[in-house]
Amino acid sequence: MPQTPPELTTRDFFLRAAAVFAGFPVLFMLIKGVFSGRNAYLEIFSLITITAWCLVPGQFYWFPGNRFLPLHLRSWTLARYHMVIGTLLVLLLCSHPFLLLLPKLFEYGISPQEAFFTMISTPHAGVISGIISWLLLATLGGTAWFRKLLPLRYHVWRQLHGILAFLVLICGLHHVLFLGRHITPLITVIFILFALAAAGMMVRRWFDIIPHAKPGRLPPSEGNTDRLKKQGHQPEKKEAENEF
Amino acid sequence: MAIKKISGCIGCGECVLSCPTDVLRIGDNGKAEICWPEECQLCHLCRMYCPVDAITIDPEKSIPVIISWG
Repeated sequence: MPQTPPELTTRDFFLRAAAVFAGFPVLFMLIKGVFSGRNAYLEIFSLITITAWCLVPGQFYWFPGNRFLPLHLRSWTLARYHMVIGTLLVLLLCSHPFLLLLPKLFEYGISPQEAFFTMISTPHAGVISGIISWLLLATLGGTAWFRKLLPLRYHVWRQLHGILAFLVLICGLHHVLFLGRHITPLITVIFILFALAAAGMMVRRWFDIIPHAKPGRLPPSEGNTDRLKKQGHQPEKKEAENEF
Repeated sequence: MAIKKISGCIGCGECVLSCPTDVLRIGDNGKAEICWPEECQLCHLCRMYCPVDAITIDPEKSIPVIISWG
């Protein structure tokens, strides 16, 4: 009797992925205390930035090259999910140094321009890794959005995209661990585990270190035939039995 | 002590320069540290001049910032 993988709809997948990758930091921030004295804008901004950072390792999981997820989701759904989340992450993480300075417009003291210059000109390891990861992230987003304009074959671009993502992960992790405001030993461990898992998935995909189970078609169970029924197609029982 | 905490400091030294009573200094780790907490006059200058909003002033002990208009 062949064992069928659990069925997963797009909504289930989205909820589980959000719970695993974004739920943890929110949980630990709530345990630690989200509003710790700074104004509400900065705290909400921190929460969004941390959530965005936690979704970065997830991007290594829900990408079209994953051989497990296409068993449950259509490849195009997965690719679209990767693109939408990736675009949001690039926009949020690339804009966070500027959003941090927004309150300076309405306060006395240092001006936003001066604050920005001071910020990027400070020779601190966390700042330098932040600048490098910002540049890498912008390149990652730019090369992904304008992929068809680049004189690269798809496979070369995919390698480049993977290498850039890997570098963003390493530099970003360094930046987060050195300059993160809500970093506690527990969150440090979680972030490192997330990054190691992401790196592991990428290395596994690149070098095929651990053999993958080859994907096959699922038997036409109720959950998987939903979309076929919508398209007016009824799979035949005999075909499914022959496959397994 | 009015400064509740310093988190996310990049060690630029703006708070040290802005503090009129030398409450803050750059420590061995390259980040701002509170050296003489009893000297704090609640002027909020360190918070206002920090480029990354790393300094949090305790709201319970804080007083409104006095700003001259001319």
